[in-house]
Amino acid sequence: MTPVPRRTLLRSLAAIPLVAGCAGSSGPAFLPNGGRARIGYGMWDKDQVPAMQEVIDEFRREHPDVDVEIQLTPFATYWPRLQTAIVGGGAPDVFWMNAPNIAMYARYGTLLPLSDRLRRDGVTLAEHPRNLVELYRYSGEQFGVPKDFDTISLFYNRELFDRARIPYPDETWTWQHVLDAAAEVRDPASAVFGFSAALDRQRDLYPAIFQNGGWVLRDGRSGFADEATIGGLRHLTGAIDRDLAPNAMANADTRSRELFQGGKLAMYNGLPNDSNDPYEDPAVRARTGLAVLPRGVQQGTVIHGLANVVNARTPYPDAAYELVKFMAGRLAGEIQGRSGTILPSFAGTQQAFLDAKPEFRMQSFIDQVPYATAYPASVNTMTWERMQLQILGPSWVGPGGRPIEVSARLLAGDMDVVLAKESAV
Amino acid sequence: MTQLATRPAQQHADARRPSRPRRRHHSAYLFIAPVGLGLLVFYLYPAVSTFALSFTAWGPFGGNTFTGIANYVGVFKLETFWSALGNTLLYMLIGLLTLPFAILFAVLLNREGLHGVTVYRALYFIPFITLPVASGLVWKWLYNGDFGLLNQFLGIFGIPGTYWVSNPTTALFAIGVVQVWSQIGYYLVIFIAGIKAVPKEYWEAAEIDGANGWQRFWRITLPMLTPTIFFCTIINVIATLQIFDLVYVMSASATANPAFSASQSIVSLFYEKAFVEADKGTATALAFLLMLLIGALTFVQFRLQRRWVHYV
Repeated sequence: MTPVPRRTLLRSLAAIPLVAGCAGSSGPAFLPNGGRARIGYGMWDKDQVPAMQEVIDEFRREHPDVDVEIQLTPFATYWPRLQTAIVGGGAPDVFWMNAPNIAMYARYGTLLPLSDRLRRDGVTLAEHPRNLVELYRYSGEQFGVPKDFDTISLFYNRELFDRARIPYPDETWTWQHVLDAAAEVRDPASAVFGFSAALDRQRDLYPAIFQNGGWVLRDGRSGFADEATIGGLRHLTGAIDRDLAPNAMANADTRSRELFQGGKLAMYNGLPNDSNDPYEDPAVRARTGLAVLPRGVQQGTVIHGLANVVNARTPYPDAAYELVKFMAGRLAGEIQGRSGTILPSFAGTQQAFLDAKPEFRMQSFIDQVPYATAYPASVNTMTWERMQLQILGPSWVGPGGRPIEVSARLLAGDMDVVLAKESAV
Repeated sequence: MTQLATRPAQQHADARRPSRPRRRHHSAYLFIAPVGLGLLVFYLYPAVSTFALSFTAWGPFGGNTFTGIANYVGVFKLETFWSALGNTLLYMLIGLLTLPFAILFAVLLNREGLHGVTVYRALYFIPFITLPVASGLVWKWLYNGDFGLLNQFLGIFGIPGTYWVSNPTTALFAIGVVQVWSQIGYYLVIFIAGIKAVPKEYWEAAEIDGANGWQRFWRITLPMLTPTIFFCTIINVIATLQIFDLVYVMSASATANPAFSASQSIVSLFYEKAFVEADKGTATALAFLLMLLIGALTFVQFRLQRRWVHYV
């Protein structure tokens, strides 16, 4: 045994009550050896950097001893990089998490459990949409704290509707209205399409499935073989077969949001932050309208939101937790909403978000929360999500493509194999 | 006998100055040390550990368990592996087209009295030094089905275009063309050097014998160029079997592309498995199988070279 110098021993013993007692309180007391903490904050959306920086500045007003540095990684490389950084030990202390990934990160112990700390601080997260809070719970433990959320709304081009002399979409619209309007607007000569039926999970597939009473994932089984699910998908592929919507080849070359921006698409399903680009361009702003999604057999949309999580290996768990807790609060919600870049999840802070773009009916995103279905996810979400694109793809190329029933059942089979492996581990 | 006679004398010389040759060796090792270390750290060690890890199942965050050959069995059962293998071999065949083009341009650029040779050489070389991601993005725009220049151009002649990189029947060839285009400059430079190394007397002699330009190329330039061609074939095959960036940028993006599985290469499948699906066991097995494939094809080429490569 190596002898421990007496003074060092005494000093560390003296520190114990300090460390033990600090967790709940704010202020420098929670920092080890009373020094400063440097925390990295990992995120992927550069549009949100100014708002997050403002949130961090506010946080530092309360906790001047904690330096927070934003580490921005584009979404395309965010997850591969985070995964390797966690293994290598260089990951940010606090970072953004989404629904497809939370279960995997939680299962492998890479995230700091937050339930005890939240309970001790009396933080109930009741101000955030319940299904979002539950999305970031794994095995009864809370790992993430929501910061924002999104549902899907229908973006429409007023000019194209005016030209075709048809009324704008509203909450009374059904799929039939959409198809009828699309047929009116469709103009092959100028390459104008009625609406987008893109092979895009969050914007198109999931809402269509939920609107038809279908499901994606339940009790470790795939819902893609269900007739209701297939019916929802058929609504999309049918529109492509009738040449009312661009096929997947066209969408792979030019995404729907770009077609819409360029005035080549009368209607498309968009996220709250899809409104940023149309809003910035005055001409596009003037011709853009927003409405709740039209209904199939029922109203439906998908709700998803991001959460802040703490790296389990952070050297400053307490400081990191304080930051996450602060970001779940009212002030952080208000700052995010005011920026207009994202819809904050803290109840009552959304007004600023609505006010940021008064010309757009941003309320339509909030109106849909009561009947929104949570984004489907499991441990290996990334694997079966890739399958969706690859197996459904041949049905998305227009007339002559593989029938959607065939693709959907193939997908269900392959997805069930992945899901079975998950529960076996 | 002479050898036996000289040996003691040499030993004697070594004994007299023991340190000098040794020190020479030391400095030699010192000079190759940076490259040697680099090879060891960045090539040999990863290769060996990849091989070892291909027999384990990886958790997404490390922690591997030995599973024997399960990963290899899994790879062979993978439908996408076979399509990616077929695609990769097709990329290799298309990539080989680079060489005849490069030879053709090298011969043309070597002609006496050609003005602005350096400008042409630079033009051919620029695509090679451009980042593949950048040229891939630019080509993706040229290929765009709705707004692309290529379709506009074809439209002039009344030819209907397509979504080149999103149409499963055209995607692989569209990407292959960019691969050829971007590599020509590199091989061009090597072939120009190769042609310059051919002694002028051969051509002069042939000319006196009445050989025309075509005959001189076919009978002299090409045979004299075979060692260069052999070298270029080897590195070209190795490079195209590892095609990734162009595929990644032009096809395998996050958006749904119906041409995705029709254009995916082995390395892009490796990337999918390792970094998107966090299935690193399968990925390392893929990497090792690709190494075997490259080794086998290189071996075959070395065997075949005896039949067609002429060394002066």
